[in-house]
Amino acid sequence: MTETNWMRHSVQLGIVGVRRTIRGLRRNPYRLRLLGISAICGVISFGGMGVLYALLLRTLDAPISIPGSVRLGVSALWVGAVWFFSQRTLLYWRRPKAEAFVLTTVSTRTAAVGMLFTEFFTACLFLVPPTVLLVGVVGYAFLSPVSLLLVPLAVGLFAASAIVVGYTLSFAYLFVAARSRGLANQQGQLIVQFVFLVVVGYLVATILADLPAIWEVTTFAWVPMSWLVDLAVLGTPVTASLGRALAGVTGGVLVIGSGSLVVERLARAYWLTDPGSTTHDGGETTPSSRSHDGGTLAAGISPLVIPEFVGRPTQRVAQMVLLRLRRAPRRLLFLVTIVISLGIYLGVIYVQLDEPLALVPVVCALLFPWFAGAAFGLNPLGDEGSVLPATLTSSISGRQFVRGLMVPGLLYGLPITVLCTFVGSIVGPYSLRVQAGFVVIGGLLTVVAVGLAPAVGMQFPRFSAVTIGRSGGVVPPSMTAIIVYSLVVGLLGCGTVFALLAPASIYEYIAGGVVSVGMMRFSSVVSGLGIGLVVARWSYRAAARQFRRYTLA
Amino acid sequence: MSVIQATDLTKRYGDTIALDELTLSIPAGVVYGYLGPNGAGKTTTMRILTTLTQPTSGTASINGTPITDRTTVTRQIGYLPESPPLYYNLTASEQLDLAAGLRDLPEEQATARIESLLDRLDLREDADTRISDYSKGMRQKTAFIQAILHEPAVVFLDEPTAGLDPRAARTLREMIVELADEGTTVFLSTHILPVVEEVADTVGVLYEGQLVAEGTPTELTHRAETGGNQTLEEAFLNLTSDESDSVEADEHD
Repeated sequence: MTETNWMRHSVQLGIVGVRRTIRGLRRNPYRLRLLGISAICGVISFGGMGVLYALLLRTLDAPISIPGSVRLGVSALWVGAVWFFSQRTLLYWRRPKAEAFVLTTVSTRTAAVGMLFTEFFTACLFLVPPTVLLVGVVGYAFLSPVSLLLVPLAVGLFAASAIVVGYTLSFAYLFVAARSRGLANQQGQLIVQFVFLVVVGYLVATILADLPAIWEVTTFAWVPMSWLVDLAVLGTPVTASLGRALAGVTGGVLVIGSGSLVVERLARAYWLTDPGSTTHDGGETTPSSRSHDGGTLAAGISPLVIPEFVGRPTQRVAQMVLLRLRRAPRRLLFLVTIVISLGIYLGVIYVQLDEPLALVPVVCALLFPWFAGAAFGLNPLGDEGSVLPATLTSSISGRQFVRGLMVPGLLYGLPITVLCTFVGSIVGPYSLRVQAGFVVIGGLLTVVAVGLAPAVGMQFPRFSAVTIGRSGGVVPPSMTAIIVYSLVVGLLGCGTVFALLAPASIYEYIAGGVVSVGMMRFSSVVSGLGIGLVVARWSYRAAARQFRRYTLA
Repeated sequence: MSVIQATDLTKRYGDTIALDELTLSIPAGVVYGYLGPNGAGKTTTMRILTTLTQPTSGTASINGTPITDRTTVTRQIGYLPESPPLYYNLTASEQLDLAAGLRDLPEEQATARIESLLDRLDLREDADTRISDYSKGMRQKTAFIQAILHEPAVVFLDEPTAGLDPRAARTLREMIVELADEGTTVFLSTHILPVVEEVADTVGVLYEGQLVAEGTPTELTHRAETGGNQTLEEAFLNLTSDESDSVEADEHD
């Protein structure tokens, strides 16, 4: 027997879901401010560009056709959106919120479709500003009132189809993982992510670096999701195919309809799978979660070691950080997602450079330090989960706790960064002095990142539940923490690397012949690193204070 | 007629047997106290009977509907798990309004019932406060209202009085008895034995996935090995100790 009014109930769940999201945002003023700033910056920059393009397009008399690169861009964006939503499913939406209530109140179809509505409404929340901007630009450029309807329709179909496909892939994976021990454990999940990274990397390389490709850029004219471009520009002077536009709508609706059906089936099978066979956070089965590590933290992280001289409390925190990562490497998923996005972006830059190897040491000197800090200390309070009250009331001092968070990054992240940056700078077309500069920047930026991460993570923690005591499982750092941390590390790193590589003419102009260019460059790099170290020291102290004064909500 | 009927319910997690051929038959309008030590299989039983988990083998029905028919079964049950299933950034009013909406309860009737239950459980004044700001007991009471809002035929309650102050706990016990008087079957799992002793008509004791004893609280205390004026707690400890296995085995011999 089917549930009557299931669609209405699903929409109800979606509305409640998005209302909860809005309330969550309003309760987080930092994130709200960041979103506001991003929106304003985006509107100003893209709006400005859009107006310029619109003015240009208005002056054109010749018919405009949709270039292949636009289709490629839309297709790539859609794939990226699918990836993004699949990650959200794996991280936040494996099971319905308030599961026991939802699943004993409505059918699994309602619960699954309700999740999709929640995600769609939430996406709409963030898509409104760019869509309004796009409608404005298209409308202004072509004086086309029909764009008021068709552009939002195209954006809506684009988002909804990406959500549904992302959820389908995630639930298919979860369904298989729940029945396979190899995939159920977190290492298995990380391997799947890594394989995806390699595949995406290869695809990007084939497109951008003229490697033997299985398609041409024009092939993207035949990817259904790129047909939404035809839909968006219908009624404007841009030459669009009505057939493709209609097929894009039909295809989108078909993908959404059939995908929702598959999501419902897979979600039902996954939700009603034995909860004891895999843990809710995708951990290992109960029997195999038994530790064979000898019962000590030191044995648990072997062959890695944390030296005694750091002091026992600090050593224990550091060991716990490493053990947590080893037992639940899914914590690194958020980094993998960022690395994929960044990798695609860097791939584009790489193929456009005359000396592509020049990019390698820059990436090493910036990315490895960022990773070393983000991997270990970007959500220290959330990582403690339900143990946090015990940690806060233990006799460990703030400094000991923060040092414990920093030690793994310094002990393992620092040498890896230095080594990789050294190798990267050798393959690059740089002089010995610049090579040394890269190594020093990489090393010191690691210290800065490792010192900064705990402070940012404590300022913007994320727990799996409102009440800390109920927090459990793997909790990725908050988006605010990731953005703030990345901004600070990125600005300091990019600034210092720029100081190292800036053309001599800039220094000559600034120095005005008073100081030599070499001295000017040296002092700029040292100043950049000095500022970074001051920031790191201040962050370290702030984090220690924050830990000591932290009170539970 | 049995409202809850389970026959040879078995649930395995890998090599572990959580439920071992459990057979239950619970008539309408009774409070069934479900006791057992940690890990005995109480929550698994509840998850199976509420359709949240599928049994490895065996069958079960609620009010004559097999648990495989989720849609029909979920209309007839209310479930309060140990951890209250609430959206913390909604207010209690909003949460209950959502629950009523999802169950298609007529609006006026739902509003009246929500208000009366909020009054009864002293939540009226805080109904427009976010659940995240509630105490554990207030959340428990909200989740209890949510479970009985639609006047289900069967209510499954997992530790419903946990975290409640004595006054609220008493109100809840009274409400459980009232529910049963009105014909609702209450399946009550708790470790607080005096609660079971006070409200339960029948008690089932689960041990290592098997129902090792069933009867009224008085019957159970009399059936305990040492006889005399036992409490339910002593009977429970007796029934769920390893020695009871050997005693039973000796009796069979």
